[in-house]
This record gives sequence, structure tokens and C-alpha cells, in this order.
Amino acid sequence: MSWDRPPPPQDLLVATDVVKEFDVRAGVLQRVTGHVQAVSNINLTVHSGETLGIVGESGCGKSTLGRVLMNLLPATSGSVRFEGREIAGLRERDMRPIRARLQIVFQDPYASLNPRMCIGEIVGEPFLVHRGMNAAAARPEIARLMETVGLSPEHTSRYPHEFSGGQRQRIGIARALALDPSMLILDEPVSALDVSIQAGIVNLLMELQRERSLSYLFIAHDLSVVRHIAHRVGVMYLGKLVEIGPKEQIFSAPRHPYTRALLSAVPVPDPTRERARRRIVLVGDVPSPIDPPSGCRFRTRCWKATEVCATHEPVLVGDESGHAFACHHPEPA
Amino acid sequence: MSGDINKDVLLSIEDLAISFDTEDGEVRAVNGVSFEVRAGEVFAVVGESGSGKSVTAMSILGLLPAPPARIRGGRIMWGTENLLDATDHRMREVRGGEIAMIFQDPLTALNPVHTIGRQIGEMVRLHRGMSQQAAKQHAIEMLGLVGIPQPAQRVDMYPHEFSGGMRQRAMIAMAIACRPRLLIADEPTTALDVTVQAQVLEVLIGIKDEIDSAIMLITHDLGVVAGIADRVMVMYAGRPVETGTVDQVFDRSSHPYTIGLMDSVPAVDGEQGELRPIGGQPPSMLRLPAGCSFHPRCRFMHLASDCQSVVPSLDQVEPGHFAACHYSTEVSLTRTAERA
Repeated sequence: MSWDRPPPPQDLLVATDVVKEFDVRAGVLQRVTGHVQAVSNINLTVHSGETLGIVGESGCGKSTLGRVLMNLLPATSGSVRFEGREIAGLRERDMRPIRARLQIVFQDPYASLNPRMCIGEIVGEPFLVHRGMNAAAARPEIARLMETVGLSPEHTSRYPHEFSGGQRQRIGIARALALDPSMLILDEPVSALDVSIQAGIVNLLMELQRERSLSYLFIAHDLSVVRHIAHRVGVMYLGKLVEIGPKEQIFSAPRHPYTRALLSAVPVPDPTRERARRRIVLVGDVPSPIDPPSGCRFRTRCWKATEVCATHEPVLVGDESGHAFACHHPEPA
Repeated sequence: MSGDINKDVLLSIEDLAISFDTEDGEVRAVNGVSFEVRAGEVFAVVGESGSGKSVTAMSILGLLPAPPARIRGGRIMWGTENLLDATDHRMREVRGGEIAMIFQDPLTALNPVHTIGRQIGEMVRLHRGMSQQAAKQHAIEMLGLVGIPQPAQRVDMYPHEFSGGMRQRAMIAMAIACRPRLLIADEPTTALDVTVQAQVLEVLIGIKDEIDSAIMLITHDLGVVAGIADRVMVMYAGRPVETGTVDQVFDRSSHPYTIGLMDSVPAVDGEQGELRPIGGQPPSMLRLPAGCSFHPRCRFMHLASDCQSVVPSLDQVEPGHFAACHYSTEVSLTRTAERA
């Protein structure tokens, strides 16, 4: 186990000015006609043992951010330090030891498990690849992991199609936990599941965090789940981090108009409370990230926008509590 | 409250049973579903995948492919007419003209090679015999009604030129073109982002009042139900397990599955405590458990053994509120005590 390792630094993962650009191609020759900044100058820190939730709507760059932070996609520029070590730009070979400590769980448990491998092979593969164990030596480890995630160790010889969505997500989590990571990037880990199954996975993740002092980057579009599981929350819009801070402040006293609108749009599963809520219905759709609005990217849908919003991009400024927002006309505290 | 019992019954489903013949055997997707949709109300049908909610909706408009689908019994009463006996010709009149459907994915429902305007206009040309010119004018009016900016320009655009939220609105425009008396919306906002969902729900409710129709809303999202529905039916394994006004079903839940669903979802306002998932897995529709289908997952099961042998009927627990549980009174009392 991990007793012989030095204690992890307080700031487990620190991202500084992370940018990810993709080429935009057009025409029959597929020539590069421009660039789209899917992730634009993101700064964030994930502390040891905490869950940082990243929320935003489709196309805001949250999933790209998750992949860039663990170097599955190379960052265009910027720095990502994990456990004190720069990992942005590392070659795949040098990433190997880091991958053991920083793992990802994907949204779709149907697509992320190899249908031709039995569960024992899927969960045990990390031991073979990273630890050089043989199959016999890995067997007790596999059984232990299966139990950890609430699956019966007797099922190791079954194949993914024999499991339900919730069970498959448990398999994905078991595989991610195999090498005793310090951090998991969870990319919409429950959004493909039925609600009664979601709750079990959320509870499992929270339990694992308590037992193993894991850190999570929890990427989700479901704000209710994020409020339940996260300690701190970052809100993204069109590739930018527009607000980040302790959960209570983000949900109870959001300062960015987008955060406020987003929260107000989520219906509450209680008729009495739901009737009492005031909804801010935004006009229009999210603009194309290929040609984002000048200045503040949210201004085209913001009811508070003025001239300055079009000319000057607001910077993310924070207070001593760690609550930061990027807006010229913030909501009252 | 628009859950008024005296309102006109538009649609009445009686003891509907539908199965699918598959290689593995007969899948009993719907097993005795009865409910009513009344004029002007929003009636929500809630359930998880495989609960039979979409199959029920599709059967109303005769949209289930047969085979493999087979109606094993029951009636779908539209006024005094049983739609299960209606001719193909009559069903074409009903579809779109009297009952219209809004699907989850507008891209599969809209034809990519025709303009939005032509597709909306087609509805009124077919059902009302409007001229091409008048149909286009009508399409522009409908697009305006669902809140699409510059409808006169957008009417000549193709579905791919619309964003996801606009496509969903275009589909709503198509559905309401003939002012149907009932709109069946199957997960209409599930594929949309939450800010766009808020817009579309607002449009849907506005439209309902504007054209004075009822909405049957199929969804898995309890928040959406709490927000816009008048009455709700909870389905599990092809059967209704609880039905009533939203206040009755949310505040005085009387079926263990309803309670399980409520306890599984966190709330964005932070008012939900610890999540309590429902144990086990949904049953295979090929081999439904004997007795109450929910009994293997029920946390109140210790109460009795007839749960394992006798299918509970949907019985009244208070006026307008029904639950299919042998122990609904005990369950409801336990629930109230837990919440206090």
C-alpha cells in the first residue's frame, strides 16, 4: 500500500493558463481555416482529498479540459503540475508512472470497456501492464477491487454485456482504482445511468473518497449531482472558467450572471419548492466557439451586458475565501 | 388546480397490455396500464428505462411496429372511439391533426432534405387542405409562436442550420400546426442543455394555454415533473405503481418505488439529504418477478409475503391518489415519519 510514499502535496493538481486549440478544417481539401479554443486560459487547483466539480453546458470545454489535464490530449500551451511534477507535454512513455496515480472514468460504461475481455482481465490489466504481475498474482488484487466497488468477485469471468449500466460503471471505477491513484477525473460518470442507479454510484464515489482520501475532478452537466458530491465548483462557458469557489457560495450566492441563470434553470424535484423558485430564462443559444463574442463571451445572452462587456474581457478575480468570478457587473454578494 | 376531476376526459387508456416477440421470448413491455388525460392538463408519466412509458405513448398513435409489437389487450379511448380499432385512414387523421407527438431527438423526427417551413406547412396542407402559400404563412406564424426569432427568414432554412434548441422548437411548431387537442411529448428536453430546457418548457406551457390542448409528458426527470405537471403516473416494469396530483405523489408518496426514486435524486437547492439508492437491478421484462414486480428491490418487503405472490392492484389511498402496493398505508406512514 501507500504508507512508504511521501505525503502528497496539498495542491495535488495545479493548472496554469491551460489552452487547448483545435484546428477548424473546411472544404474538400480539409484545409485548416482557423482555430477553435475549446479550453481558454484555464487556471485551477485541485486540493488533496477534495472534489472539484466542473459544470457547464455542452460545448463549454469541460470534457476537453479533463482530457488535457491528464494529458490524454496535449495542451496547446500552459502548465499542468500533478503531485509537484510538470506533466503537460510529457511523452506517453514518461506519462506511464503518472497514469497510475491519475486516472479517468468515462461517461459511457458501454463504450469504455472492451467487449472481448472478461471483467477480470479488464480490472486486472493495470496490474499486468504497470506492475508486471502475472495473472495468478493479480487474482487476489482483482477480487479485492471487485469487492471494493460492490461487485461479486465470482463474476470476474463474465463479459461486459452481462452487466447492467450501473455495474459496468462500477467496473470502470474498479479499473481506475487498481493502481492506487491519488486522483480520478470523472467525466459525467453517472449521466448515462437511470436515477435509481446513479445514487448508488454517487454514494460509492463519496465512500471511496473518504476511505482513500482520493481527489476528484468531477465533470458533469447535472448541477444537482455536483452540489451533492463536490466541495468546490468551477463553472465553464464557451471554454472559459467564469466562476469558481466553495460549493456553498457558488450555489447560494453565485456572482456571475451565467451561474445564476444556470442554477435557476434546473428544476427541483419538489412541487412546493419548485413553485416558489424564480427562473431566469436566457435568450438564444450558446454562440459558436469558432467565433466567440468579443470581450465577455457570455455577453450575447446576458441581461446585464453593457458596452464594456463587448470591449474588455473580464478577468477572474477572487476574494480570500477562494471565490472568484469573471464579470464586469457581478450579482450582489 | 387543473387536476380537477370534473374536467373532460380526452383520452382514456383501459387495461392496455403490449408485448414484443423477440428471439429470447415474449417481452411484456406494458402489463395492464389504465389512466386518463383530461382537457387542458399536463399529465406526466415517469419511469426509468424499460418501464414501458414510451411504448405506452407510441401505442396511442399506432406507431409501434407490428410485428414485433403485439397489443394483447385493452382499449385506447379517444372520445368515444377506440383507436385500436381505427382504420389506417382514420389514424392518419388523428396523428398530427388531433394528437401530435414531440420526440426527444428532433434530428430523427425532422426530414433533413426539406426546409423547416415545408415540414410544418405539410401538416396543414395534409390535414386542412391549405394552399402552399397559406401553409407557408401558417408555418411562419407557428415558428413565431414557439419563439424562434425572425421566423420569416428561418422558415426557408434546413434542420441542420438550426441549433439543438431551435430544432426542438421547430418540432413543437410542427406538432402544434393543426392545433391538436393532445400533445404527447416523449422526453422533449432530455437531449437539451438545462438553460435551453428552461426555454423549451416555457414554450411548451405557453403553447398549451394558447391552443388549449392537454400535454402528456413522458420523462425520467422528477424536477421537470414537479415544475410543470398537474398529475403524474409513476411506472415500473410495465405497470403504473402510483398516480395522483403532483402534490399527492411527491408529498405523500405511497409506493416504495416512488419513494425510492425521490430519495435517489439530489436537488440543486441543496434540500436533499443523503441519497438512498434503490437496491438491486430493474427486472428483466422476459422474466418478471411473481407478485409485485418491485418486491425484490423493495425496502419495505419485510412487511409481508403476499408481495411475492399477489400482484397488487392500483387502489385509492385518498381521492384522486392511487398506489399499487399491498401496504401503501404503512409505507406512507413510515415515509411521513422518516421525513419528519
